[in-house]
Amino acid sequence: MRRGVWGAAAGLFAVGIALFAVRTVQAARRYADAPALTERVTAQGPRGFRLAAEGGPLAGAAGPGRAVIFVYATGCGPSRDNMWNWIDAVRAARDPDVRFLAVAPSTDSGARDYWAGMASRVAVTRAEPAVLTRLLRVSTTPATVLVEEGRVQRTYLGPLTPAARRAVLRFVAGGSPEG
Amino acid sequence: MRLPRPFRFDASTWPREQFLAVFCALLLASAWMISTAVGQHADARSRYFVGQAKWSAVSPIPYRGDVGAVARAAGAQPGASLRLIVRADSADDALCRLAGAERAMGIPVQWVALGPGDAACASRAARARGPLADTARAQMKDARWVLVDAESRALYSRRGAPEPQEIRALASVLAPARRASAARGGRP
Repeated sequence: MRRGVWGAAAGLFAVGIALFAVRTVQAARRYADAPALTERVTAQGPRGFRLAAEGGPLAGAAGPGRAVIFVYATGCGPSRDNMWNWIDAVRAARDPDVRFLAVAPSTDSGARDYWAGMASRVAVTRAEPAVLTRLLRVSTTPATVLVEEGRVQRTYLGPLTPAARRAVLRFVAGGSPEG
Repeated sequence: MRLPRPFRFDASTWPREQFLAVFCALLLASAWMISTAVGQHADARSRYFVGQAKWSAVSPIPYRGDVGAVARAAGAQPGASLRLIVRADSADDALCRLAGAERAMGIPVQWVALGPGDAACASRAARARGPLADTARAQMKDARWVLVDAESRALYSRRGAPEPQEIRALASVLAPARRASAARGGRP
């Protein structure tokens, strides 16, 4: 009887130690992977689909070559916080054939004024939110959509975090959004 | 008078089984504490990196944010469609290079001191005083420099130091018409 109690206690002890060891190893792995988390902070939307935008507000992005679509709203705080990333993207475009398109909801009356001097480099347009959702599969602002040969390569939702920003800058410079 | 017997740590006062049970319990408790501590440390580190990524994803001053108080403190030049305002009290060598590159950049550079400690290069720094300084500091947030338009709205700001050629490239994107006029010999 006494022997059985001691056996059970030893078993419980071994299980407890093993559990805590596993927990410690998992936590250590999380600790080591923490810097890589920053690469995954930006939420990504759907990609790989063809932009069916013939004749629509996004027709300028659906043709051959590369295009970047900025989805924004003039009254959207995160869009305003993110503008410097988009300004840098326009500035970094070495290839003049990269087309930039900024799309705001159709209710946004100051959409063009918002871009001021950049309106000569960025084609500003407006679209019904339902049309945007249908064409780009995006329903929030800000969103950054990378399009190549009429096919959506990447969609970044929210302000561009450093990893997403690097991907966009690589794309407009003629490279691949992949690292 | 009898003295108390000295305590003897042996099998007679502490049976072996009891010792083993307490020892194992202590071991389990320390294993639990270690795993909890490592877990909390890992969570804190993850939060730090995620927060850092989100913080650096946004500009210190939002696009088209009002920086009128900063522009006034810097001694705004009316008529300039684009100008650069630099915090003199945070200026280092990289920011000081802007002072000498004003002509190359093609846009006026203004300095604003929102705190003590001006850089030597910013001898022209306007010193903001009184309630204006508080408003200006609030508008400037943690930006070290900001590009503003004629209506004193922030177009681009950064926490780090820029290079003159970077400012020139930004100016060509933010105010291309003004750049063309400057290239033709017109005033910026």
